[in-house]
Amino acid sequence: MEERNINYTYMTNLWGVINYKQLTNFDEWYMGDFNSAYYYQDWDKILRYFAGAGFKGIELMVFSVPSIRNAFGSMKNFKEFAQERGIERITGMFSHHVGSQDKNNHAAIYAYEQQAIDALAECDGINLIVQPAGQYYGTGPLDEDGLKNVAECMNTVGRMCADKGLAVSIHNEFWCAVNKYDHEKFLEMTDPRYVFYCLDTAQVAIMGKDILHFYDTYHDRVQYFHLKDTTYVNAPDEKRFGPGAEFDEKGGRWFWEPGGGMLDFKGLYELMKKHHHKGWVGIESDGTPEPLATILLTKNYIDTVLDPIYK
Amino acid sequence: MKPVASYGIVNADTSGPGAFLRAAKWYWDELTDMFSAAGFSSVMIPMVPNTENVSRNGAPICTASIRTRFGSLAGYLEYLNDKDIENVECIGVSGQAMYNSLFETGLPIERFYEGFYEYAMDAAQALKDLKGSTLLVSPTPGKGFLLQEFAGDEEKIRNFEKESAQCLNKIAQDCEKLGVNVAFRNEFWTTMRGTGVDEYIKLLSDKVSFALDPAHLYMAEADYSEYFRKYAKQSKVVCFTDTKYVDTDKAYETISPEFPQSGASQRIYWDLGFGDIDFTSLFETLKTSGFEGPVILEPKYSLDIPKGILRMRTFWNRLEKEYAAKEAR
Repeated sequence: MEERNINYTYMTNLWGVINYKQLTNFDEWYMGDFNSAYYYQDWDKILRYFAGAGFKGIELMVFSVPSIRNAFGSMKNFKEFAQERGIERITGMFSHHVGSQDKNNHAAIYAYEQQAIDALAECDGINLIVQPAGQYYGTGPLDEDGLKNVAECMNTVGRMCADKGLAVSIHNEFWCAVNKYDHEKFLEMTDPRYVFYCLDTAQVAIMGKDILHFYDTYHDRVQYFHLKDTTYVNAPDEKRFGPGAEFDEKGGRWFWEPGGGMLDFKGLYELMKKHHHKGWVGIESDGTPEPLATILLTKNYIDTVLDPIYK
Repeated sequence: MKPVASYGIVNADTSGPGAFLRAAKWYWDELTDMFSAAGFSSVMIPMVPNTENVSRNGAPICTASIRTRFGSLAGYLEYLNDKDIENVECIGVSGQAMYNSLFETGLPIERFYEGFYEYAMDAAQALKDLKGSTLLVSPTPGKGFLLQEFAGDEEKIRNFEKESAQCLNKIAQDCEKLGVNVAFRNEFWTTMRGTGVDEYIKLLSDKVSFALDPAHLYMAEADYSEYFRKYAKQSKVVCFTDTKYVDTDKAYETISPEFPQSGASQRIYWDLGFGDIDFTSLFETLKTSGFEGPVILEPKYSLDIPKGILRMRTFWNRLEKEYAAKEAR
């Protein structure tokens, strides 16, 4: 394997919920329907698409744990199945702390997260990536106590992760109850020994933050990334704070593959080089209408634009 | 008989190009328009329990997501009416959906039917607001999940099933006050699958009817024609689902019954008219039994939604045409 400072891992949520381990009968999905469904429903092929495009790691959504267990019997079996297909590491899992602003919900969140942590540990993962609170609509803005409770919840889950040899990182969605006006404040309220930050470049840019300034300032906390692009930098509050803001009412697309939008990835990579970042870097492409095209465009962008700057 | 188009045609939890977009409201706007364009004026909506996470979904997947997007159930009905959909004839609630939500809500299995009752009654109230007639209830999670939950203890599973019947009776009693019918489904993975329905019905009050579904009876190796003849007269609603699936590997008792992980066949549902069910004879049975209620057309998890909707209309037109021709003879 080539010596690199960074390797790439791909969040699998761009595919939706993958229900099958392996489909074998092409005809029953093709004859009479004559479409491509056979190619997009099983882990066997989807893992091979990632590996075939040159990605060595994947990340999972916590929501996929039950369906993976249904299909494979255990997360460990899933990990071995992925390795046989060229995926070296299941690096991360996305989860969320809906309701964390209220301490009364913490016990249920910890119980839920313990399931996620156990599942991630079982497949030898690295990093639990956490949306720190529910959507802004109906929850935000958070008062001081609410924000403290969200931070306390994150710190506790951070310690739970550390007990299993994992890390936890904040993934701050542009529509989250923790938002533009308390973004850095919230990060500083969390315990740097246990809680890291996963910089989702598009989410944070849509929120109205300068991602280069943020990374340069907090590079010691930013140990993980979700690289994705956007054409919608600094969205107004009413767009981010509306009901179900993540899913645009008219079908508009928030997120693009790196290089498909306006973000300065070259600048970011110069900073990553400056700060000697090492580890797995995640790609997330939620919302693409065509996963295979997006995966290949992303790999090409890494090879031709990002790698020459820092790899 | 009144054909009702089911939103169950879409598998919101599947993979492939555009999968993520099924959580966007515009997708369901178009779907509703397509149902209307295909000549359907009533719909059936399968709903999951309300959780904060799904409430932000653009799909009308739970009452909370409808309230989030449309302000109220009345607002949603107004929206549907504007698209020439007169009402939501049925809402489906299921023990499996309830079970799936436990991962997120942390509700213990001991309080399962307490939660299920709340979920069902919330849906029933929504149904009343949406001018519907019947709450369709699938009362237990899959057998495979219960085998896992109760470590294979069949007695515990039987007791759980009895509890489901008590809950169903209570739901029906309270739905009567709302003017809503209650019918139950026995999907092929449920504990009362196939012929098990006969015993299960004995646990139920006469306020609960059985919703016949030929595909699920077929997959559970029951004679669906016989069951249509036996239960057509008591039916308040009938479901038309098609299949070719033969459960050679006992997928019904696994934790992935709708997505069999082994066997020569792994596809459960087919667009209406493309499977092995003899709907012509079932249509005739329903007609001769005097059934005049809603028929839920549910080409579940169609691989091509616009085509599946058009096939639904073609399928229904053909049934009516064939029956009329036979009558004329």
